[in-house]
Amino acid sequence: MKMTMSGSGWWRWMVLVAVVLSAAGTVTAGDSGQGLTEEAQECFECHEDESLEKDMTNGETLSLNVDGDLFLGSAHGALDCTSCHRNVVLDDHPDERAVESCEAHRAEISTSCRMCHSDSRLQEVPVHFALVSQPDAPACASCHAAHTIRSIDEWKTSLDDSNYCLTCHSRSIRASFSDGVPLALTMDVTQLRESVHLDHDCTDCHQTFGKDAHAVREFSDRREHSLELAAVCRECHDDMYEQYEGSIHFSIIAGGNVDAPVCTDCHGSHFVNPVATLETIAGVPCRRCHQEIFDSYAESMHGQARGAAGHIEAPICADCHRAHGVQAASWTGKFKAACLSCHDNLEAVHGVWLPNAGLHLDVVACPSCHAPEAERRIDLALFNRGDGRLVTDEDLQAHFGDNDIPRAGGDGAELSAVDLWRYVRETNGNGSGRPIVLTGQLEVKTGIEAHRMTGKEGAVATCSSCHLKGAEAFRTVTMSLVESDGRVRHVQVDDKVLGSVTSMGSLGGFYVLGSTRIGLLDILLIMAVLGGMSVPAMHMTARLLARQKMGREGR
Amino acid sequence: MRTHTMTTAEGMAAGALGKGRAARSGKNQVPRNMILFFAAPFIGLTYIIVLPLVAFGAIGTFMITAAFAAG
Amino acid sequence: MKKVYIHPLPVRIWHWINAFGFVFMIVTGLQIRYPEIFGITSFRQAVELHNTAGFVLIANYFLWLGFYLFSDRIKIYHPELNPRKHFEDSLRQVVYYSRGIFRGDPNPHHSDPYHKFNPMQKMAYQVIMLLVVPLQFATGLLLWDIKRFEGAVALLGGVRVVDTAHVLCFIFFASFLFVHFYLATLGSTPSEHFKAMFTGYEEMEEEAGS
Repeated sequence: MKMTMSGSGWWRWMVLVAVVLSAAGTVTAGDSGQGLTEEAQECFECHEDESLEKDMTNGETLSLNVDGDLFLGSAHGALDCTSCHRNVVLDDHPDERAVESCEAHRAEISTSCRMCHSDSRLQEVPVHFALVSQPDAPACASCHAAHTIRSIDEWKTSLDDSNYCLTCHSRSIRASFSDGVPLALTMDVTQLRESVHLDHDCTDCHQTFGKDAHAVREFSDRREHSLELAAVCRECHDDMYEQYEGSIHFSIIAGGNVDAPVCTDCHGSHFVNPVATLETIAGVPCRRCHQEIFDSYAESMHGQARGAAGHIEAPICADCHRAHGVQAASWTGKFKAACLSCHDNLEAVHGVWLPNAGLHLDVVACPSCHAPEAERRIDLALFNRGDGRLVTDEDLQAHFGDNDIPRAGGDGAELSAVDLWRYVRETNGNGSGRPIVLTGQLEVKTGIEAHRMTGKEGAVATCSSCHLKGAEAFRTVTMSLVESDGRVRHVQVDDKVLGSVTSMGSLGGFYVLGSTRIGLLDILLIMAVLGGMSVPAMHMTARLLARQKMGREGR
Repeated sequence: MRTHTMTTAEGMAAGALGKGRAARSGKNQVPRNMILFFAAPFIGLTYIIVLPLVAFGAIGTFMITAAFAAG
Repeated sequence: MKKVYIHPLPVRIWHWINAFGFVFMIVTGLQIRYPEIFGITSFRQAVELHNTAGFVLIANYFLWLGFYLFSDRIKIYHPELNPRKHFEDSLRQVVYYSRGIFRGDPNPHHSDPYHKFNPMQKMAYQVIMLLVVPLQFATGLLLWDIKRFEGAVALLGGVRVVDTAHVLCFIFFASFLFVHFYLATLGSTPSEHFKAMFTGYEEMEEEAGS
């Protein structure tokens, strides 16, 4: 029955009658009318009507029905209605007061809560107090059901860990970082339940929180928050974390740059998807930071096979780089193992048309031919044949001290053939055997280009693209120096070292027919051929002249 | 300088080296031949290196002798 | 003039295979080393031709070696063990080529089947046939399949060293080609030695009283 907004006085008499009748015990509000206050009983005479509603100004409709049994069973069951509904004057009820919206109504009523639940009381649970103290905190009634509030102990006991957390965290609550950036604390349960962690409780990861403790945490920024929480993954995923600790991403963070990824940056936090989704073109997380490389990969035959054609055996990022133990982009010589893990029998396949196929595979990086648009260069590296490692920056410092090792190469200083010879000589020391040699690789200049690989149809098959004096690849020469975190620094080398006779002792192992020929030998050839031609020519001329002379003299 | 003429027969005899050639003829010369054959380049290389020194020595001797004869 | 049988058939066969073979190797070698200058064949074709001809020449070398090791004509390569005699004969030969030949003097060296070479030639061919040519073949073989022989290549100091040795030998042969060809024209007629290397018979001056 809908109440009209008339102001006739007969209504007040009806209320009086109801009060008298209820006092006689003939009118009750529900089965357990006992325990409700007199006022409450009076209110329930109308408010037990399920159809009782009020229109809000914004068009919403607020149900005015209250379940008396539930209210009696709640923590506030012994209170008068007007303890909270302070603006209700029984003599003038219902009134014509307009209410903007249901939310506005809840906000208004919630001011009553603070009559009993004062700041000092609320501060006993600091995190709750922190939430409600925010300027746009939700109204008490938004979280705490209005008429069915239970005691905290009873409520905690009735809920499991996750649902306990969700009583607040399913609502639109938030905190903020020290830098003022807000952090939404709302948890979308459906997404959690669709993730691989669906069987976990909140407290399995958020271990410092729970029914018994919930500190008010403060983080300087979002990144600090992410880094701390990612450490929790280790509890269950120790093997992966151990791999991660050996990775370049870990080294970068340890070095102070916190933008490198931690577990949650790739896997997400609450919405952890199965690994398979991370290995799709659309879902691979690497592209978030390595977009250019990813775009290059997507155009490559691997990316096309994986993406458009759906061949999941085609490699994506983690297949070559490994997901957790990803190393710094390093010396090309080590990378071939990734290609060879799928493409076995390469020597036989290339040997059909390529002379010295095995040597080519050792010295030429795969993208040098299979990414034909890429710019190429020669990269030299001091390689210890004894232990199979590159000589590191530290090893060189031990021999030379800081001054002699070219730094960064940005100032234009290039290593000369003599410099290279010194490095080889000094690092080998006086020991017998010379395990340290300078090896050379023909590689592409940037990682972006290296990913744009084609199949054999697009690959370089013309020998003269490299076996030609002045070929592009031989005009840029660098030397790789390995730093302590595994990253490789490239130092510029004078390209003349490739054809210098002084490189015989240092670059003995790197030689390319036609392109890196020693210029001195060309001079020797010309001299030898000219000599070989001219000495006989002179001798023959002398003989002819002598014969003519003898002929004239009659001999 | 006198020219030196050789008959084929003399050449054949002289081909077997110097002393003991009569004694060696008839025995199996193949191993000896092979050893000399493979030693030849090293001896030849030595001769090549030394020849210019000998030539200059000879020229020098002539010059000194001529100088003494003239003076 | 009398004809003396100086060049046995295996030697003649070996010689002409070698002659054309070495010219072929030099031409293909130039194409490999100077691809930006020469355009006779593609780089890969040149490598393949060079490899094939190289193996033919190595087999040819063993034909030469096999013949001489089991023939008494091996003596033409034997060294003169008397140094004094050797230097006297050598200097006599030098004087002939630098003076006597212009004056119409006869050649002081007379070839016979067991003394084919004059002292200068003998030194040269001893070194060429038993040092330089084997070195060229060995370095060429290593370069043919560097991966297969990577132990030996590394022992020698690396590909660069092996290739430099190969190129130095090539420079020598390229120069020698002209000298050898010219010296071959110094027979009784310019074509006499060429014909002899086909027929086997050299024309010699009749000895007085023989």
